[in-house]
Amino acid sequence: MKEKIGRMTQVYTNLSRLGKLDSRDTFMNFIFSKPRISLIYHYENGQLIFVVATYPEYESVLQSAIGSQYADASIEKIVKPNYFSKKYHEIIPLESEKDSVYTIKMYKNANDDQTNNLIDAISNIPKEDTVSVIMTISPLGENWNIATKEKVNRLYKNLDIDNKRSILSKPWKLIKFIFK
Amino acid sequence: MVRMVKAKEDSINGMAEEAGSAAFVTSLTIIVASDDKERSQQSLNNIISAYSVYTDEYANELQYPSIELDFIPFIVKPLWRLIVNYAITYIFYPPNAFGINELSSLFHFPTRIYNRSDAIQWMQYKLVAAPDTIPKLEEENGRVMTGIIAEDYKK
Repeated sequence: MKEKIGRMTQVYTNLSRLGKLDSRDTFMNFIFSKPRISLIYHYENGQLIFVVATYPEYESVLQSAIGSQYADASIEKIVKPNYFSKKYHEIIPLESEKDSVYTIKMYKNANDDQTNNLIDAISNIPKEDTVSVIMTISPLGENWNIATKEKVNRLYKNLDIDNKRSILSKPWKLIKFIFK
Repeated sequence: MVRMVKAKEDSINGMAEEAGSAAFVTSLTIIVASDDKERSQQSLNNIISAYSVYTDEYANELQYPSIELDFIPFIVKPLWRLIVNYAITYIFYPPNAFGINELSSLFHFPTRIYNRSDAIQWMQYKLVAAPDTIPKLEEENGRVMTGIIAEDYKK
């Protein structure tokens, strides 16, 4: 199970190069911040489909990233699902409770495929309703890795992840720190 | 290094691994649509509770912005709808950053062995590329061979 899910990490690794494919792509990324991919669980008429959406210029990269890891998969183009097709809708984003250095529980530490829990919850919803879980991702640069490694080092030493000097240099962090 | 509980140490080791891998800024949104207002709210609550499997006692968990939702829903809901329609990751959202292992836990493609839910719509066929040995038209002769002609040719 973990090996199968691990294949998806390779897909994400391939996609992390988006926005840095060539000098034109780097420039366009700087101006428009275009490399974004939406990964969607869409439930409609009692059926759950897995949708991946991106801009046309990244289509071939996305197809090869998925095709290289899921050789038996077939990728087809579909029209964008209608998320708001019914009379009423509820929409809510999910966020991490703490700083991004702290990880959520990962598949490596789970006994079962965690998405089964979500798929089962979705499949219990009446067929007349629609559900969409939309995850839009955009690659982060190396600065994030550098900052996060620094925070992890502080965690190993049992220190607070935010350096006090950096808090004083950023007023909004100071306010957050005081009212914590 | 400071001595700590093994589970906590394992958790920090996981963080160190993620810090060294590629990461993505991520927005995660749930939308439930129904013709029954009460039912849509119940369904949403069920899905939010399903995300509790991602809670790590020593690290992080997923939650929803309850204060905004309770006090200014008329402002935040249209904004959330806007960001879904335009696939925005930064604006009007608390920025989440996830590593590749976290993202794989949140979204990966299903396999028949481990994901046995009847709700998953499996494809009944597979599109494959044309074989390399397919005959090619070497010289233009003004005629196009179609499947119908080929069938007629057989007869």
